[in-house]
Amino acid sequence: MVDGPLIVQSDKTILLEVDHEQATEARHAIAAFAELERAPEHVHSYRLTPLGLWNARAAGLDAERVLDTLLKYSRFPVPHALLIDIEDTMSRYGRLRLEKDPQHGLVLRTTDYPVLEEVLHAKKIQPLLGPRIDGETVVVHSSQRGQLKQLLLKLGWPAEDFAGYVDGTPHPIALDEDGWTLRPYQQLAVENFWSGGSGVVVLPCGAGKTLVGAAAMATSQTTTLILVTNTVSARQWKDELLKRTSLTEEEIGEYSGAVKEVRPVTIATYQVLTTKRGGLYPHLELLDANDWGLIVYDEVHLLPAPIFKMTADLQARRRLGLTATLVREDGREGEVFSLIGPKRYDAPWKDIEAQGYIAPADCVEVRVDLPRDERVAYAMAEDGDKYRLCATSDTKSDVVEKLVASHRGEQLLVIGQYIDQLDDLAARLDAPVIKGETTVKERQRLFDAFRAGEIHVLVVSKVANFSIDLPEASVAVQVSGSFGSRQEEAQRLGRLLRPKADGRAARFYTVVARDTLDQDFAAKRQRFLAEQGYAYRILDAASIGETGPSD
Amino acid sequence: MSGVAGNLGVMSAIRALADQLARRSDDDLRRLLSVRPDLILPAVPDFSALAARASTRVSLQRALDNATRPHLQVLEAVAILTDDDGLPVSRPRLLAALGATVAADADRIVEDLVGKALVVESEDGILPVGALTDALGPYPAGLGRSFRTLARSIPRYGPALITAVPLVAPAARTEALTSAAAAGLVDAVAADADAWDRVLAEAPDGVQGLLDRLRETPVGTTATGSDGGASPAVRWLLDRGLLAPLDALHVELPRGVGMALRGHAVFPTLALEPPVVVERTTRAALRDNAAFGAIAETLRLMTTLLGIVAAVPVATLRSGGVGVREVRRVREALQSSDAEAVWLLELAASVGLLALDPDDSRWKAARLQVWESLDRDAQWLLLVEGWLALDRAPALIGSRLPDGSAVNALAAEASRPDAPTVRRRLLQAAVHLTGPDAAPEALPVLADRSVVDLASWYQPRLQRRFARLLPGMLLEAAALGLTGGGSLTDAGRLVAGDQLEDAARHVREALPDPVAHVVLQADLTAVAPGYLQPEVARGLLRMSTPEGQGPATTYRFSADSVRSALDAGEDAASILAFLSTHSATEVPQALTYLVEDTASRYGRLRVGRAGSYVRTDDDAVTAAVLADPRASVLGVVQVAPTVLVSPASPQELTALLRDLGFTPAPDTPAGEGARTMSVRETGDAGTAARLPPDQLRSQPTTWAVAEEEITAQLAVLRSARTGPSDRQIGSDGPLLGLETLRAAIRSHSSIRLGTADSEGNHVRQILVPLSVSGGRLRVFDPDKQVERVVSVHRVMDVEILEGSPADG
Repeated sequence: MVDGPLIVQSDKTILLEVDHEQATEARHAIAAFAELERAPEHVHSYRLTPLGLWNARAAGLDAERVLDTLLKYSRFPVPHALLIDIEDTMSRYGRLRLEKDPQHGLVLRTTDYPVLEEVLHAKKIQPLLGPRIDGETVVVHSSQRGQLKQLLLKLGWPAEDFAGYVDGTPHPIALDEDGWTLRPYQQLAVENFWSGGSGVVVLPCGAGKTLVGAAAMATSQTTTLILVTNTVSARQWKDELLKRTSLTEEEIGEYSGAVKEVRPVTIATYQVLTTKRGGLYPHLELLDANDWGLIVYDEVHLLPAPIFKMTADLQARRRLGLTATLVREDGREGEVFSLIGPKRYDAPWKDIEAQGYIAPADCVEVRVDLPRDERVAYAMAEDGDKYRLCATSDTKSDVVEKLVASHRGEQLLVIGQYIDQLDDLAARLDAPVIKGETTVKERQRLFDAFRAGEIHVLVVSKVANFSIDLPEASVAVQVSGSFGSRQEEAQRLGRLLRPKADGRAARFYTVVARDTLDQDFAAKRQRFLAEQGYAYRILDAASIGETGPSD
Repeated sequence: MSGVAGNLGVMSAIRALADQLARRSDDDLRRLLSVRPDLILPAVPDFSALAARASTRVSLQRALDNATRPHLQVLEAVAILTDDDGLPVSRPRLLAALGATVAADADRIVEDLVGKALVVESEDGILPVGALTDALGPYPAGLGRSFRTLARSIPRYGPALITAVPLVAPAARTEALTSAAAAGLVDAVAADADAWDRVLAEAPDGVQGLLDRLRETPVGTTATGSDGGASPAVRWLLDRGLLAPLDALHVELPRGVGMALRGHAVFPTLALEPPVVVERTTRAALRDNAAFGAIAETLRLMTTLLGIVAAVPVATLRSGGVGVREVRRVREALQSSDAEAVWLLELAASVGLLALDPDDSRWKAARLQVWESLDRDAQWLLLVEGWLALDRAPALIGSRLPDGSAVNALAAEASRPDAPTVRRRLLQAAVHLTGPDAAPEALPVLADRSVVDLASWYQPRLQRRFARLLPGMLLEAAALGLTGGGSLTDAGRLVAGDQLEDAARHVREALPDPVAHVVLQADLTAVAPGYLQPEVARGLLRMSTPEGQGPATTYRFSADSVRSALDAGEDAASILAFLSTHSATEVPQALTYLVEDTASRYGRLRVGRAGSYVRTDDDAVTAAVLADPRASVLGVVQVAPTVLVSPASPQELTALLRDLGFTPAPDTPAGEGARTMSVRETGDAGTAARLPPDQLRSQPTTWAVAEEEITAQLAVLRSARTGPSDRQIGSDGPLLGLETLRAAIRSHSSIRLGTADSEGNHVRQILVPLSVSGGRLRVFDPDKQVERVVSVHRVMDVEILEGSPADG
């Protein structure tokens, strides 16, 4: 038996021993077909899923290579049933192909007659298909391309889409590589995406996903629609595009609640597209407003359900999905796969960190003891009020003050959920606060000041969760959150992971009230962060003053 | 019953056999006794007893079950050729009935059968031994009964044959034809190739197809035509007497026709070559990967199963066996399939790892610690031995019984006493199919079908059993790593060759050494990178929750799991010491914090057990009670300033307090709490641990005798050499009587039968015996013209009346 770095489990997980000498090699080999699930410090775990295996097939990997990889690097025998399952699953991909037929237009073709029969007998699929041409080919209504792919995936026979794309209106876009260049992994991501046609690029927070989008646009040289999560993010995309490409202010339009511009490159928010009035989506025509050559989806893992529906009708256009994780809290990974496309590039977080493109992070949980009266109040409170009570305890404010004091001179964010608490903290720390009611203009001004180092401490509410760019924040203190959501955690940490000028580790404090719901949520957070591979420590509030937190 | 044999026209076959056996060399006898060990189990006094036992139906059936296909074919041919008249069959006639068989092959097999005492050969020819024809069943060689027998036993068929003669044999004289003679005429046509072809030449469409269908199984249902009657083809055959109508729906193909269809032979040829069919192959690397993976997984699941059962025993149903719900519980805890859970339960029970507690009818993990103390190769060996000896077929569990209910796990319905034999055969067939030197790049995969076919060549009489049991057993063999990826492993080959210790050594070398260290991580998990030493695993299980399925186990720590370790008497220091001893890496700060934090706040609430308590606000009262010596007898202790507790019942405590002059009032609320708080008892693993592992061993029971026993037996036989010619008949007497009866039945002779009536009087009657089976003799009483049934145990003597053929 070889002494490999992998342990393949019968529950379809793969454990990778990170300190093994072949670990890097093995990680690269399995990343193509297995999803990284947990990455704590010593043993990473990957999961084999049908989607992952189909992703691998889409990338040109066959079952034999997958099996060989597992057998080669596995320390123990690989469960035989798993090998058979992998072979079986992978052989299902590509038995059906969507093609463009010169005579009949869009057709579904198979190399395996019984599969087509099975598919044709599925009730939901019948209405999407036209007449049958011969034993192996059937006409597909071109408007149903997306829905068909979705249903075929559900049946377990994912179709490979060779039907190609419309060219879109040409529009010259070039990268303006002045004083910077595309990083190698970004380059590779764009190349993989372009040769694959459509699909998703997975990069960790802070690894420069926007640039991958820009480079894809420069490759496409067509009009582009960019879909983003919110207005702030839209602005940021615009700034980045202005800075990094040949595009000018006049060529980029914003399509949001406030402004409705349709220009060769248009940035629209999910929210405006999914606004419903009288049972209709009034802004749906945006999708047809231009002969888009490329559609970019930012933060695919947050894509709302109606967007999937709209995307189903956009199958003839090239689609690029950008995300930090393929894991969706709602489990709709299958729709991302069938409608936007397979994963085209995935860079392990550790690799990028090792290359120095993102900052390492050090997570510290600080536990405070609630005073007796607060504990009694907490114990007696209604369930609905409990979290607010423990999360906004005054004792936390003292700890935050101490922490801020110990990091004097560093760029520091205080993040919280409850406005009263934030206002109180802002007053104590003598720092400006950014919350929902702060105007966009004022926000930009404060961010600029923070960036410039004129302000060292900024108190922010959850509005700061998404797509704001604070390059020099090196310390964050979280006092309350929205019940330990993994999304939120990743986003907040992402704020800190932008590389620091001096290569320091980012420090992420969470202040937690002991023996309360707050601590339960913290346990989830701890598991999530540790599984992501961040260092995680727990301190008692009392020890902050004595030893100093920076050791 | 003296004088029976003397009345026989020919010398009794049993006596002939006894004579022959006595004349055999010691070596020949040794060979016989080693292939038919049941002949001397228990020992026999002399050769006639040996011959008698060799002629019993049970022994013959056992011998037949072990006969290969060509052997059985020859036996069946002998049985058919001697069936009608009971006269010996000569070798040339036998060879002719075996179609294209080469004489040398047939001779070799006949010699073999003689050697195994299944047939007796004399100058006159070959005769089957004793009840052999009976043991072969009603349709030997898949052929129907002869024309004559059919004519005699089916009332309508005799006359039908007479009317059929002009149609099949136009030249024959038909005046005053008896049905027996007609049967002879039709038989002659069927036996003559030219005449048979002439008859068939006139056959309408469908006849050939119909005959082909009846070629291997002589009884069939008639396809009814559109008018509700038989189809034209059936009609045509019935008219010519070439089919015998059994009832309105069923017909039987007479033996003569069946043989005509096989080229006028009992068998067109002998199946001398075992069928070796290999459809797919696999690589040695894949095979070993699968096999060792399966071994590790089975051992892991077995350990998990025993843990599950040790915690909560498996309840049985009132009707016996383990119900679906219990199986589901086990399955869910194992995270496996139903079939896997059932198979593990069965296997564990077979080696005594699970034992049924007769007091509460629950299966309990009797020897978990013994199991855990074994090395993994010893564990494997134990399971393989248990499997070989397991007289049950776990794969049948879940299948439907005729009454619609399903077979339950560990229930009597899945019992198959022949399962060990079938498993042996499976392994032998696997070795045969694999061949001695298959290339590692192209190892034969054992398909269900080819294993069943090959096994059925070796033991054709067990074909149905093989077809039903072997596919499930192949899966079992795969779970034990005897096959991997469908191909026989080296360990499997060693097990097949009974080299169990070597097989275990082979497995030991292939299984990685147990690891003693885990990897601790900041996400509060410990990952065991492989099979963990049992004591470390046990320690970890006390303080964490296991996750994951496969060679590596992940142990997750939480405040709850740490608290349960504290409940078990650990403290923070001992937990951390254990972790740092067994961790390959530094204990993460987060984990240390968790353990210390949990331990430091452990015990703020305490729960205990008490039989009664006293509440009072008066310090003087508590002091008075505690001061009294009787209080210490009742074990009264003070747990809080105002509370006393005692393990005694409230009545006793009340009595004590009354004696002390107090007036206690009964206190109702909150009393229940203590009673429901019970600490689960940890079972009696301690006694089990003292049992040596050897006691778990199970040895397959096989019909085998040691060489010394044979030698001892031979000495006895030789010393009693006077046997056969002597008139002394011992326990084999009844057999001779039965043999006489069979001879009379065959020759349709009348007999004088002496029986004991209900008063014990000896009654003699002249009767015509019709058949004997199942301990009952059917006779025709010519005086009263009725049929009667006589119990064989009442028969005292039998005498054949010469020259009295009672044909009819």
